[in-house]
Amino acid sequence: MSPSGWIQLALWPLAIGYAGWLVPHAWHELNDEVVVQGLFRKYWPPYPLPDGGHVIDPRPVDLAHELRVRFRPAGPERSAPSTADDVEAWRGHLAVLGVATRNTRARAPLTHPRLLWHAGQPRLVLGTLDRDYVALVPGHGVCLLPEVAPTDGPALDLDAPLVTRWTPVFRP
Amino acid sequence: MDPRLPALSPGARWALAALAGVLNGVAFIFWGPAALLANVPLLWALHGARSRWLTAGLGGLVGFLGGLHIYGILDYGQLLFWGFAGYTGSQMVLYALLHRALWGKLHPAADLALPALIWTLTEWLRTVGPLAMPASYVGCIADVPGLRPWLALAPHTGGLGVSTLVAIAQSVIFHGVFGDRPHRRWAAVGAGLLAAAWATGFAFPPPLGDRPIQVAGVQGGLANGQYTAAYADPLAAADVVRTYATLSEQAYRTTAALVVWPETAVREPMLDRPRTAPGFPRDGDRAVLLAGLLHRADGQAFNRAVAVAPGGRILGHYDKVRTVPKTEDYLTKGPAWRPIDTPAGRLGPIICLESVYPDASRAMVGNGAELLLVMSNDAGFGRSPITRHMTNRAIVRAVETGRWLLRVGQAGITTLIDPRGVRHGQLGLFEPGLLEGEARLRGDQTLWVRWGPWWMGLCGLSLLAIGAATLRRRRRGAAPGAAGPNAA
Repeated sequence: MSPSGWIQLALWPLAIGYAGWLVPHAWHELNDEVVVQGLFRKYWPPYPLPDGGHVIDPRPVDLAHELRVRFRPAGPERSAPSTADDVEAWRGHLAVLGVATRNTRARAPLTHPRLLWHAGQPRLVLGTLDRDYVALVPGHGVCLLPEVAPTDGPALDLDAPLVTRWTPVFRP
Repeated sequence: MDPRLPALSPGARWALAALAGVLNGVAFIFWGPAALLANVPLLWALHGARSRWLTAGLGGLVGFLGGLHIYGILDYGQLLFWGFAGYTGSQMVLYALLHRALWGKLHPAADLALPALIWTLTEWLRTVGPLAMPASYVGCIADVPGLRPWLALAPHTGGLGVSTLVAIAQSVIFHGVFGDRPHRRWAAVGAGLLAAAWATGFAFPPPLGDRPIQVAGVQGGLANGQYTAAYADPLAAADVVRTYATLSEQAYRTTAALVVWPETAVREPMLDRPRTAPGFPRDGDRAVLLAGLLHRADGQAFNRAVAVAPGGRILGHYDKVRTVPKTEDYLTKGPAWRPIDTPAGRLGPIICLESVYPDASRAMVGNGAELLLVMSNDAGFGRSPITRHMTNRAIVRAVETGRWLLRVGQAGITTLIDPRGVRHGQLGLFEPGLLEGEARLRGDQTLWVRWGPWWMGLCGLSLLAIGAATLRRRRRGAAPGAAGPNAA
């Protein structure tokens, strides 16, 4: 075999082998979802929802706790109503917290934060971000959804302002 | 060249060029010392190649394959990734064609110098113009302890001079292994020069400065997803603010005189209420804070570094001058690279991509900066090696300008670098925490800061001289050893 032949015999398999290692390695690195252990909690990578939308902050959601922290931080800590889809129970829960509510329908135009129900489970729509709706969905976390509610039904509008982009979080 | 050097088929030449492309990529991303060998296979592949098209193709393949190794930028879009690979490919086409035109026409000393001179030209070209995207050999070896003495050249020539040394090493290896006796003799001279540069750098390392200052870098360690969530959800935004506020308050309880946030650490409207903004120094704290913020005012957005004195007094700010095309088009660029005067010294903030180019840090120090701060957010690169690549470029900036440099990454890497290129401590990727250390302020200016890219001027003139001599010899009709015995 000529020297050129030996060179090719040595180098082309090496190049192919290297590419065979590099491509999966790069793919893995680029698609490796980063789980971050932050100072105060763990952050999981975002993921798409099967029915549309994205979970942008995956985390456990305790709606009763979220309602207190977001709307009445000074209010009493209470457990969620035992029947998850009992609208009246949730209205009473919010009343004890000191948050006024108004009956509405799930798919009505969004003007206030809204507690609504889907598949028997409550979710809290906080506001809008561009064309998406920002919602807390138990079992997933903070989500961006393409519509305010997948199905219509009774809902409760909370007497509070809607969340918009970069709503300031601290006050002097 | 050595008459025993075998004739190469086109297939063998392409195989050697592929090897050179891989070695260049490996050097940039995985293992810096590979740079010493990277273009040796290409020089062999080019030897005796008569066809211009073949020559251009060989060079282009090397650059393209090398560019593909910067795959971490895929997170910023396919166009940037493929565009970068094509860009580096075009540089190596120039390298190959110039080498073909000039090698073997004059004296073996010229042949030895050519790969280094041409590489210096192409590497310099990668730093200029609106589409400039630097890729440097000096960055490949910046974190190799055994080669650190070579970095001592950088205060005089800029990092480009050190890249020239790496390219000389490639030429020395090629001519030393494959050359005839005259070429091998000059390869020995080249090896001697490299050894002398190493010994000089070892014996006379750059000064470190004599005005100490305690510094602390605050790394939140958050992924980009957390900022997306903060955009939509106030409680997520509160988490981000609380992270930086908590770590900053820890820093204020240390002896640090300067606390530094990374790029756009907080995107809340902090400057409306600096006296009470979380994480800003209060009355009684001793440190100045250099805060990385995304600041919005009057319908504009700025990638801003703000110096805040205890009590919330704003001492000055710097807005990112060189923004990332497309991704940062919504930002209003800053007007100039000017340092900020503070009780902690004249601070030279450089934001993210600006640290990859030599001009920002040179301008900052030329305008009086006594300490460089690279504030970066590389979270978009995930766990790819790009952040290490960017950190190495920061090492080059520190050595070129003779300044201590604190690099603070939002998701890492955070490290303190001295003017000799030594790193003092590190926070890794996605690791929240504080990096504390002692830096030193310096007010002198290196030759490179004062004279700029004079090294490129010298190399360019040398290349022009070789080109002119070659042309004159060709016109006279006396061209000994034009393409060698190994025509394609």
